Amino acid sequence: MPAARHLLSLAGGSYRTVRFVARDTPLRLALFAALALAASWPLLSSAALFNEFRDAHVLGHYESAARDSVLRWHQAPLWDPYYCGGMYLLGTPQARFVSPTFLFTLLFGETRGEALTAFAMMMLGLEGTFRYARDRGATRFGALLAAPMFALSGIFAVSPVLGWIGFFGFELLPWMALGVRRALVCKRMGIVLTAVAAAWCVGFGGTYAAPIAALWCAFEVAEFVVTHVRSRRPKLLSGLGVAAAGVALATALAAVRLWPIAQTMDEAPRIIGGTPGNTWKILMRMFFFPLRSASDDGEFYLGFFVAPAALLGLVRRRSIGLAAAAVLCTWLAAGYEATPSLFSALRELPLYETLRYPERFLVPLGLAAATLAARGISLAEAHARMQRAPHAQRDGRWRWRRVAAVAVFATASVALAAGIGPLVAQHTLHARERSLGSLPVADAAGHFHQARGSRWALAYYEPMQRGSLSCWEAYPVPESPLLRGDLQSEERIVEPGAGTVTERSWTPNAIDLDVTLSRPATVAVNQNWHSGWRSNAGEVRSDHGLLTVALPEGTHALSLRFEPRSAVGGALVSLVAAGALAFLAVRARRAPGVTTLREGGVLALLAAAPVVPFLFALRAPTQRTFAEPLLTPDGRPVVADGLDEAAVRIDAKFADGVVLEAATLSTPDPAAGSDISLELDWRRSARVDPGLGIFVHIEPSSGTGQNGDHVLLSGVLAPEDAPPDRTLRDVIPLFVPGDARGKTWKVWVGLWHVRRGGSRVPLLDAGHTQSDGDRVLAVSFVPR
Amino acid sequence: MNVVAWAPFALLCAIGLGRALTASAPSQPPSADEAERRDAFRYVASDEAAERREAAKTFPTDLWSRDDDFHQREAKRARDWARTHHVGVGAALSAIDQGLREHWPSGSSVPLVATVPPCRPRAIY
Repeated sequence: MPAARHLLSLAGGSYRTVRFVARDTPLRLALFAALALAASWPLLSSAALFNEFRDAHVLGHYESAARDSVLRWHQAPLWDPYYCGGMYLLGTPQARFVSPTFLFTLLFGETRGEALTAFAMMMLGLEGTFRYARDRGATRFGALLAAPMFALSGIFAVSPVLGWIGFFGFELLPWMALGVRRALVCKRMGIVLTAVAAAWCVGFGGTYAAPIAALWCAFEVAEFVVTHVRSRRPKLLSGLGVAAAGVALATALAAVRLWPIAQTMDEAPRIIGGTPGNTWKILMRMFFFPLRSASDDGEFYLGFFVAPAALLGLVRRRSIGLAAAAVLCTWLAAGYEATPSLFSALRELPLYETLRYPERFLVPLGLAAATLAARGISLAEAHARMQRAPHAQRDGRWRWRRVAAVAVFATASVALAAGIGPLVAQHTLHARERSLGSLPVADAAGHFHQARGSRWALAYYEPMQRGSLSCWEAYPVPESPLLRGDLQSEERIVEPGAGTVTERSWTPNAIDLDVTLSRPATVAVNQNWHSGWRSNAGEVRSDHGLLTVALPEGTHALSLRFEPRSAVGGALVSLVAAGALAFLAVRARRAPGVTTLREGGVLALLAAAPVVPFLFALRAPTQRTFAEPLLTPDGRPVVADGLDEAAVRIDAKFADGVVLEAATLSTPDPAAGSDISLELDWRRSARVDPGLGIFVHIEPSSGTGQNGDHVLLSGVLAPEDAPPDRTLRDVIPLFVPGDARGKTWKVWVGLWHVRRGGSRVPLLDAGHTQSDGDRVLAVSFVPR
Repeated sequence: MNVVAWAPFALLCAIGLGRALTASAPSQPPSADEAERRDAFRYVASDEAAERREAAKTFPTDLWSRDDDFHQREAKRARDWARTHHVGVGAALSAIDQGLREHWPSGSSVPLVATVPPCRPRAIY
C-alpha cells in the first residue's frame, strides 16, 4: 500500500503542477515553446540547408525572390522575373511572404527563416488551441493536455518535408475560430483577432488553410445561430452584426493579397478535374497510424491516444456542435468515396471548386478532436474533484463512484499526455526523410537574363541572377511562347534595322532603357506581359503574351514600371483596415464589449471605412488588357466558323448538346517514333453542363494503351466557356511509340463529367463511326 | 511585466533562434573551370534527344508535361555530373545555360531548344 500511496501522491503532485503551469501564462508559453522546440529541432538544426524536394524549390523561391526585392532592389515584392518568364509575385496564391514571419526571412535568409517560421507557428498553434478549447468550456488542465494534439499533428510534421510551409497557416485556425466566437458575443477583441488571423492566413499562402478556416468560421456562426435563435434573439442579431464587421475588416485587412490573387485567378483560373476520394480505412490510417514510408499513413497523425479523452468529450451535451463539425470534416475528407459526397457539393461553390485533396479536411478534424479531448478531460476532472457533504461521503456507492471517476480521469489524462511523445517523434522521423542541399553563393554583380532553366532545380537560378522559363504552378501561369532562354540581350527592337535599345538600369519592378528609333517600332522585353506594366512613353502591349512597348520615331529614355492597380489599391484598403483595427484594439482595452447602439454604429463605420480607398482605387485609370485569340498548339484559332476541308466527318451526338463533328490525324499513316497530332472538332449548343471533360483512349491491338484525357480544348479553353454553334478545334499532340509499328491503333473519344462525379455523358448518336459504351471511334491507324 | 516570469519562455525562444543561426552548411564545393563547364554541358545536353523521347513516351498527349518531365531528367543528370565531379549543382546548371546561349558543341542528335511550352498544369492526375 505505501507504493500505491506514493503513486497517488505523485499523480496528485503532477496534476497540481500541470494546473499551475496552465494557469500561469508565461509558464504555459514556456512549456509550449519547449514542445515546439522539440518538434522543430531537426528543422532548426538543418536550417542552413535547403530542401531539394521539387515543391520546396518553387515555394521557397517565392520567399527568396521577395526577400531579394526588398533587400537587394529596395522595392516592394510585386514582380518576379526569375520564374516562368516573369509573374505577378504578390498575386501568386502560394507565396507566403505577406505575413509577420517574413521578418525571419528578411533577417536570416529563406532557409533559416523557414525553420524559425515552423517553430514560431507551432508555438502559436499550441496557444491558439489552448485558448480555443478554453473558450469551448474546457478546463485549463484539459486544454493544456489537448493543445499539442492539434498544433503538433501530422500535417505540421509532413509539410516541411515537402516544402509546404504555407500549411502552417492551419495553426491560425483556432485563433480565427476563437475570434469569431468572441465577436459573436460582441467582444471587440474578437473582431481584431478574426481579422488579423484571417489576413495572416491569406498572406501566408494558405490556399487550403484559408478556405477551410472560412468554412470552420461559418460553422461557428451557424452553431451560434442554432443555439440563440429561439430564446436569445436580440443577442443573436447583435452578435451577427459584430461578427459581420469582423468578416468585413478581415477581408479588408487581407486585401493587399486578396485583390492581387483574385486578379491572377481571374486571368488564369485553376481548373481541377477528377473525383478524388478516400476510403474510411485510408482516413483512419492517415489520422491514427504513425508514419510509414511510401504510404499515406500518418499524414494527419493524431494517434489513438486522443481517443479516450475525445470519446469522453462526446458525452457532454454542449459538445454536439464539435461532434457535428467532426462528422462534417470526416465526410468531406472522404471526398467522392462517400455517397452522397459532401466534397462534391462543396466544389460547386466558387473558390472551393479548386480544392483537389479532400483528405486535408482531416486537419480541422484534428482541431475538433483535440477540443473534444480537452472537454472530455474537463468532464472527468470535474467528476473526480466533485465534493460531497460529509454524510454523503460516508456512502459506499459514492466512494466507489468517485474512485471510478478518478480512474477514468487519470486514464484519459495519461493517455493524452502519452500521445505527445509520438507526436513530437513524428516530426523528427519526417524531417529525416528530407533531401537537403546547399545553395550556391549569390552572384551579387551578375546581370539578369532568362535561361531555359528547370523548375526541378529552381532554387539555384535566382542566386545566379538567371530566370527559369521552365515553369510549374498549380494554375496556368500566363507565359509567352516567344520567351527565349538564349538571347544575348534581354531587350531588342522587333523590327530589324529600326534602331537600337540599351539597358540603363534593371530591377524586378523597374526597367530603364535608352531607345533610338529611325521609324516607329516595338521594343520587346524578354519577360511576360502583365496589365500592371506601365511606361513613360509609347504604349505597353502584349505580343502573344510577351512584354512589348510600341514607340514612335526618335530617342526615348524609356521607363517601364510594374504598378498593378490591384497591389496599390489592395495596399490602401489594408492600410485603412489596419488603422480601424488598431483603434478597435485600443478601445477594447477600456471597453471590451459592444453594448450600445451608438457603439454599434461606430463599429459599422469602422468596418465600412476600407470601402473608401477601394472605390478610390477602382476610379484609377483602367489598365489595358489584351485578349488575344486562343490558339491551338499548331498556331490556328481554337474557335472557327466551320470545319477544314480535309476534316473527316463523324457527327456523333452526345447528351448535354455536344457534337463531335470531325476527327482528323495530322498524318494518316504516321511512322513509329514520330510526333503527330489528332484534331477533334467539337460544337456545343447554347447550354452545356459545366465541368465537362474529354476522354481519349488510345488503344493498340496489343500492348499498353495511352490516355489523352483532358479538360481544356487545345489546352486553353473550357467547353463551358466556348461560344455555342461554332467549330471548336481540340488539337491533341500524340507521340507514336517506337514499338507501335504494325499494330492497329484505335482512338476512342467521349465526354465525362470530370468535375461532377465522373460519370460519362451518354452518347445519343454515333454518327458515321462505331461506338462502344458512350464513346466513339475517332480514328484508327497502323504506324509504319 | 514580470521579467523573471517570462525568462523561461524567452530562453527557449533564444535557444530556437540560436540553433537556427548556428546551423552550418557544408563548405561550398569548388567552382568549375571552363573545360569542366564544357564537359558538364556536353554530358547533360548530349542526352537531350533521348530524354525528350522518353518524356514523350511518358506523356504522349501533353506538351507541357513532356517538357516538364524532360527538365526533371535534365536536372537529375546535372546533379549526377556535379556529384561525380565534386562541384556544385549550380555550376552544372550554369554551364547548361552558358552552353545553350553560346552554342557550345553538345553532341546531341537534335538541335537544342531554348524555349518552353507555356505552363499548363494537369487538371487530372
